[in-house]
Amino acid sequence: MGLLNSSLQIGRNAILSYQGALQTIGNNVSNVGSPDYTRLAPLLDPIQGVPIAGGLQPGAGVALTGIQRNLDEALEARIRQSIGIQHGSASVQVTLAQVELYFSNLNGTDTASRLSDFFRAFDELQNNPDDHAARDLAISAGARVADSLRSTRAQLEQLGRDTDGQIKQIVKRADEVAREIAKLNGQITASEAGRAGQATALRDRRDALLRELGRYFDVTVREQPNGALNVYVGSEALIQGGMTRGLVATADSDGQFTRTTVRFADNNQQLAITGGQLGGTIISRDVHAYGRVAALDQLAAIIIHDVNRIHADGQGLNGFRQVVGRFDLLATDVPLNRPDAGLPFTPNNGSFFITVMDDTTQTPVAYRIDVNFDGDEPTTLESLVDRINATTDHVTASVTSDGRLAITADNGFSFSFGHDGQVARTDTSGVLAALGINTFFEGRDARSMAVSQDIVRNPSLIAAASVFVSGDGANAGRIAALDTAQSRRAGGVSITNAYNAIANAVAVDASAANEQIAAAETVLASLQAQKESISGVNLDEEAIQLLKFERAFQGAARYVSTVDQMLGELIALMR
Amino acid sequence: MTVGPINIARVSQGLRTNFAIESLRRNQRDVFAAQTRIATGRDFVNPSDDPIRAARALDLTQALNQQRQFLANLTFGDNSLSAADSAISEISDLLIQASTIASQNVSNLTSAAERTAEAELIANIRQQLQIVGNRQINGKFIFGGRDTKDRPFIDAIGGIAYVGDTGYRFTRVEQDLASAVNIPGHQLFNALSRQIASNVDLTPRLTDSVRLDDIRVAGGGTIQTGILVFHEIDGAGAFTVDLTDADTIGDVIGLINQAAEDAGASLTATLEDDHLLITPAGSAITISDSGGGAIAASLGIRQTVPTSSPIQGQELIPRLTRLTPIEDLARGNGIDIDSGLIITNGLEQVTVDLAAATTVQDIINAINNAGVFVLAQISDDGTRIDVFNRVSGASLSIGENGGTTAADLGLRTMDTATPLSELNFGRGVTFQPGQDDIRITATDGTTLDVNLDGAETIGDVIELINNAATAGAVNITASFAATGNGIRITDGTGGAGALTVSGLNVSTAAIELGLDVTTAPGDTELAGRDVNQVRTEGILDALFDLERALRADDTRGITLAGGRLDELRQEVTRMHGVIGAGAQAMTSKRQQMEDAAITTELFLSEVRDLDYAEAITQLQSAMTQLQANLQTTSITMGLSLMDFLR
Repeated sequence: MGLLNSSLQIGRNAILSYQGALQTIGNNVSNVGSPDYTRLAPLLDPIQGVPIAGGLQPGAGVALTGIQRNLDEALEARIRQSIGIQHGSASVQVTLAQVELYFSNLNGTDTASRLSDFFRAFDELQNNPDDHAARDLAISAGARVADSLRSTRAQLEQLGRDTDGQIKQIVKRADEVAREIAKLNGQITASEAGRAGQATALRDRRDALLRELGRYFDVTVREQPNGALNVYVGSEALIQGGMTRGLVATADSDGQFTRTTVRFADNNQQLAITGGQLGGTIISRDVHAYGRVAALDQLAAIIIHDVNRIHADGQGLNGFRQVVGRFDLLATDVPLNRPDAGLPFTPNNGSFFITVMDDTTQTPVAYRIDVNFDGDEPTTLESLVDRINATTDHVTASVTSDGRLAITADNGFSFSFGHDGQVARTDTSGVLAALGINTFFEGRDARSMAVSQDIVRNPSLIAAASVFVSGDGANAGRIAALDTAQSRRAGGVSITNAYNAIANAVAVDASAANEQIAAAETVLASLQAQKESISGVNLDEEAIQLLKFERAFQGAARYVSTVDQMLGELIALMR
Repeated sequence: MTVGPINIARVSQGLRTNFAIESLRRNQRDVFAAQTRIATGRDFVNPSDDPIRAARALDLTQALNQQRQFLANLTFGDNSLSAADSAISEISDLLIQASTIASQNVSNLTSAAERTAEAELIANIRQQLQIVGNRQINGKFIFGGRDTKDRPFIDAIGGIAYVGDTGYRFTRVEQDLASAVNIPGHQLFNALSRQIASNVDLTPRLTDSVRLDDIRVAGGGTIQTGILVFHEIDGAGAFTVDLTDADTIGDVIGLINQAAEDAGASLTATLEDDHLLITPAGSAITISDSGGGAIAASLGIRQTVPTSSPIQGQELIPRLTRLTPIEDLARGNGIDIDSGLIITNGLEQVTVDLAAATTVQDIINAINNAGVFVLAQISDDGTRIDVFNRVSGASLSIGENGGTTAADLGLRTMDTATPLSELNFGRGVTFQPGQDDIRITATDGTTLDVNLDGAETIGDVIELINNAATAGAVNITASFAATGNGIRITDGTGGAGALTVSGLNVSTAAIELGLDVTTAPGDTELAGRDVNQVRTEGILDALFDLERALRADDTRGITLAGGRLDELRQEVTRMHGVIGAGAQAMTSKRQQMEDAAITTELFLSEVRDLDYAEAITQLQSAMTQLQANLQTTSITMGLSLMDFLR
């Protein structure tokens, strides 16, 4: 009887095993649509039985010894990283696509076109220096260059702020994900403790969350023997077992821009974020948004300086009765070339000419004012004022209450710069442009750049002439030639090329970002294909498995019924 | 998204779905991209689509903008020059009329009354010429040089003064090339005189404060900026002096000495007369330029062989500028300015007081403001002051006011060294060879006949008169005026008659030497005229001449003026040619520029614009791909073993 009983046991084992196997297949089939699901495979093993007569061992049937998750951990890690790269590239690409719009030269309203228009306006001014329309055109062209630079800068700054705002959102979500992973760690450890099988659904959920965390920044994952995962950012642990250190975003300002930094909640330590959406967003903000603000500011300074330097050597239609510098100083008693004087542009040794004219006789009397920073008495604003007053007649220099140079002519006199009454004389010191005397632009950077208020109010002050004659446009011609002339301040390239370099860099970066994201997507797709090939469910396969286990189950059932028949035969013998 | 070439063991349902989604997305994106390109007509929509071509397109667009501006400038220049061109045609016509009148009146057949009437015609022609000279286009005087807002030709001191500017207006016609678009009025009519000839060199003394851009080096060239490299062999070794920031020659010396001191070197730099002197102390030195600089070479102190003796730089010649102090003039010798000048232009005479002048501009301003319509300015080579007569119809004379100011400044129109051949506007003085030329009648009636044969200068004439007086024991002395200009005859005979000078043997020398002046009886001095006056030699001046001669019924004057007009007609024809050539150059440059702009546009189109045939083919191919993908996807996705399970 023992024999028959053990035969029945074989049938029972087989029925239970195939039931389990069919359940697993059913689970696979039903999860064919869930993206995070890992295909399970039932592991069926033969059971060692007791020997029968003659010592033979027919075996004890089959047992469902395990359910295997078809998962490649190494592949999973690579996918996590690849998702990070893809999202990092995507955020850079999105940012650059916007930056590119600001610099795009395809619609004719960009800074490049406006710069071109500006220099062309000065060509027209050279042709018609005594024409008020040409002067108004030059002013509006200058204003449009300034507007364009200012609005591009504002857009970039706004983009930087928006990008920074995204960082806060991402950190908030990453913190939630970390917390959930920590929670799942605890649940998995509890669920798997003392059991052979894995908590597959919980693990699938945790893997999905890890992938999400890897999307935000680069993480390193270490599995612990108890099934928990420790997650590291750089060398710092973020999650250990069921605990997360928490993430917070804080706003730090460097005086110009506010930047959000990511810190651990427990000790406020800054995270070394690399890669991922967060890494990409930080690069977008710092390099592509705020970084280009700096480049625009530099370009604006070059334009302001170079145009003003030439403009300061020219003359308008009339002389000045009074002129007040457009730049104020921080200190009027320190040498003008020192940073603490507070001038945006640094003057050097040299000299400039003031030519005073008497209204009635129109007789020019020129004076040369020397500026020197080498000797024992380097020129300060105050000493410059003293020198002008000691050298000239009929004009008075003074320092305004807000630290600017003011020069005023006596009644019946006017004055001009950049000529001696017969020929043009350049300001070799650059001090006029540095102080904003007789300048076209004012401001120091793309944000503050504007056409000088003096000129807007009085267009006849545009210094088109080089020898103070109404129809002389030589100085306007020199400004027009700046578009292709080498600029020392721009490192030996022209203003136009300096702008082009910025615009081209944006295009190159955007193109690189496009390529990078295409590459990242390709890699990710390959990895996901590989993963799908291992972990994904194939319905046809499952159908075959289903048939196989169904048949096996049928076989087992038939076997049990056969054994039952055999038992019946034996019982019938006893009657 | 592309699926890379990987070996896939199994194809799961998810993989199949993902692949279908991604490949359809890609197909659709390709279709959209091709569609966008066709819709915009651009080969690339964003610069990032092709950064290299985008950069090229940007460059080309800017180049095109510039070329279009140059085209606009050339059109502007062409129009301006054609205005000058048509003015010259009018001038030419009017000149022919004037010439005809002159030639009709050269013979003695016309009466004085007829000539007076003709004079009115000439005056009328002159007025018409003045109107041409004052022509305005768009409210601007086109012949005023760079001064377009003031009338350039005005009536002044009995003539017509050119008060316009003498400079050119330019327009940019190419990168680094500007072309003049105007003819200043003084060139149109030759309305400025030549400058007063003189060999006076006012080149100032070289001082510490002279700006480097005001210095030229002997033999031409200017001082470069750059970095000097000194090497003190047995001393401080090598050290550099950065002179890029140096503004004056004093800065150069200061920077060298400062750098030497900082480097512990004992050499010194000083300014000696008109050159730089580098004096080594105790060690031989070499001096060279850093990199490709040329400042040591331009200062003449480049010394590559070690030397212990002083290195003397080359001669540095400062330019005369408006700010040059008077005491620095003529290499520091200074000049007499206390006495001042007497300027006579036409009937106006002024004494210019220069006593308060301290710099050159004070002298120039005083002369320009004297109210006699002269133009004083520093010569282009920066060595002297030039004075021009602005008035057509008046002659300019500058003389002394008792001192040597005019001569020191090189502005005296006539002096003892003036060659006789230059007198009377180049017509010179004619003598009767072998015969006496002038007779001086003293107040007591004594006469002195002088043969002027062999005289070449005013000084020679004075000497011949004085020699004749000594030989003839007549108490008459000839001298050159200490005030004003001209030969002075002083009479010591003490008579009561009039002192006169007249011609002998039909010689015109008395008139040509300016001695034909009348004196009151008993006057002991006869002040001769300045016969080396400066006049404009232009059309307007010749017309004034002709008009005066016609009114005076002066046949010789009419002939001379007529001859001048004929010469000036050739000059006008030449000017016409010059302007024509200028306009032609503009036109041909415009054609070149148009060609260049078209080429640029072509390049730009090649770089930026779409090749429709290619784009449409691409769209077609993308659409075919999409269709194929849709079909195969729907077939494969619909296929499942589940369908066969019962």
